[in-house]
Amino acid sequence: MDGLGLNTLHSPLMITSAIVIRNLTHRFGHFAALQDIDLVVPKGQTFALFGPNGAGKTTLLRLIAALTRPSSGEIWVCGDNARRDPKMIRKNIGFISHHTMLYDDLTARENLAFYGCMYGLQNLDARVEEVLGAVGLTDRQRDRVRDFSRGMKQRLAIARSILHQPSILLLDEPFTGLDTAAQSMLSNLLIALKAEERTVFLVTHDFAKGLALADRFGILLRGQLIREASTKEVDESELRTQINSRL
Amino acid sequence: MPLFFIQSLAILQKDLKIEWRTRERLGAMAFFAFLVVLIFNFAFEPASPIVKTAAPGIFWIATVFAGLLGLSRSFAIEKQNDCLMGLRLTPADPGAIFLGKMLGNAIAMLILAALILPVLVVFLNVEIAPALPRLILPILFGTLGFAAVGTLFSAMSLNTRLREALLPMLTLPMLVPALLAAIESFRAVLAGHPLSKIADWLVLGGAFVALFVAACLLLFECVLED
Amino acid sequence: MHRRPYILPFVFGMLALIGLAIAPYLVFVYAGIEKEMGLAQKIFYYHVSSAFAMYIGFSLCFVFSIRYLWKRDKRCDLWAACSAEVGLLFCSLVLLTGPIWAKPVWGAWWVWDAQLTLTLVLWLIFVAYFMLRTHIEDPVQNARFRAVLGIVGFLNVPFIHYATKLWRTHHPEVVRGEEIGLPPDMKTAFFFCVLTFFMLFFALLFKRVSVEKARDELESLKAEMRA
Repeated sequence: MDGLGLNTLHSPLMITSAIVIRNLTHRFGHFAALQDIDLVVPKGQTFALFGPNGAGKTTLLRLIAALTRPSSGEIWVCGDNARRDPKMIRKNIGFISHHTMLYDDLTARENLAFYGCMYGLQNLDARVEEVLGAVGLTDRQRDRVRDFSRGMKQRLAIARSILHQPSILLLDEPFTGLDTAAQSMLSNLLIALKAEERTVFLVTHDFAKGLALADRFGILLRGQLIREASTKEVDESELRTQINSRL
Repeated sequence: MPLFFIQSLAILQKDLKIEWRTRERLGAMAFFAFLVVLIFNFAFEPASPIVKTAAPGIFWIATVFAGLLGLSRSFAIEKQNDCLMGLRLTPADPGAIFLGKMLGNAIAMLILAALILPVLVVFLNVEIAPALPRLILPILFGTLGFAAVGTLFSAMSLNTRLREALLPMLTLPMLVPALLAAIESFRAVLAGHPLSKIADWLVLGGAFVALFVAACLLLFECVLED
Repeated sequence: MHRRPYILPFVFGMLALIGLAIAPYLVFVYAGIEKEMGLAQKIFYYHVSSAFAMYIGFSLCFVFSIRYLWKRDKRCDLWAACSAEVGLLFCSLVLLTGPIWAKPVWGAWWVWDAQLTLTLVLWLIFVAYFMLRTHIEDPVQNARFRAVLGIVGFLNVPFIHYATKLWRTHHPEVVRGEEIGLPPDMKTAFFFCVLTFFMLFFALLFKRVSVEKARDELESLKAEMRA
């Protein structure tokens, strides 16, 4: 461990990496959901994680977001340790999952203002205005989320996740259940984030989308990271056969 | 104001807003409490003096059971669309989340108590008006204690099977001292005793609230974690 | 390494066994018969000793629960749960022996005296503790929630104690024998019983912990086999 220089926050690896995972194992009781994961995601890159259901992808995302304490091993996000400084990590992370995490009986604006307050944002109104515009919901900001279509809810969920300008965006199966408008909006958002040098960590079933958006990818199978490489090295059919052969 | 309290108030405001718009929770609680008082009436002979001695107990039983009904809903709204995860993703202190939730529950309980008192006057023929100012402290401590313990356990029973059954089983035994204090001081006040006569009970009720709020502020992190 | 824990339950078990063999002699033959309560007072030796053992159990649960939340060490949780379990056992003994004492002395199976009410409330709290144990599937969450309950439950003891005491003084109450000074022969028998119950408590606790550890080991072996 010492050889990697992980003990100092100012080691080159820590400065250039958004996410550093070392010897990560996570157990639910006696079942090892993740085993000996080692992974480094450099800042500004988009990383796609593929794998079948139950491989531990969501668990890994929750660990990175400091929602769950790892059983053993360490995770650093932007140089902050997940065990010691979960609060710092939360400031840096945006999270999109298939749940919208929105209150149905609040308006779009109220939802964002509430979350903004929980993030302790300054100039809240201006920022809310800005993200509402970015997802195209300015006209509907005073309507309750309950009356929104699924696609609009998803767009608002995207707005919620980028409200505090996170340097890392975690996405859990973001494309499932999205209508085409929201899908293209999300793809554009990811491209825009990349232009802003923000890091994206994407968990998905969709090889084509993942490979198109990501710089690097990983394959998680039964809790183990069996491959990690640049997306330039593979194509979709090769990935498909690799996963199917190991299942 | 420190961020901690701003965040607590944001949660409180959000809960009150949602409650105001849906009016689900308080309506069901009030109706349930009304039923409890009514059913209790059938347990006694009409106009018997026992009813008057039992009035403090009936009041708190109605408040607590209707309160339990409302508490199980308190975190249910966070469970919709997995908002609880959204909250946990924010850097907000879990203690602030607890405080906001607890205050929301306490306000719901206070409104409930204010609704039950007239029912008591009408159906049990209890004279409350002259004792009303002195009832404020006992009711305040009782509801705050209930809200503190109840909020902690409603967050805990959220992910369990048997949620509805587990919440009272966890809450009620823990609440015994606060309930005793609330019932006994309520009784003494109705009997016309001054507050100085029930100072012991008030101290107990106040200390219970203080300790449990402090303990929950510290421990809520362990409950929210996943 | 895995054999060592078995020594403790054995040693304490033997001590408890010897104590339990001698205790009846001290209680029934050596100690005199109390004048007012007669033979019924004999249950006092076991009743109060169980109460002491119960308090050790619940305090250990409190300490290990705090330690668990601090260190997140699975072993602390195991110790906390076992302490609570053995504590609950002695708590039940207090509640069972109480009525046996109360009926002949006060003419009612249950008297709402402060001490007994406190024990009943504690019993309810720790029954809820085990309800929680069976009804949460995620083992880590289960341990955390129980630790929280173990801590607030124990913190509540002084409040329940004070409340029940106040409650009873507001309603006149019978005086219990133990508050009057004991004659020396009864004192000897009493202390011996308390000591014996301590031994019994720790014998059960250590045994319980070693059983749980074995179970845990078995589960992890099973998990390894499956993987």
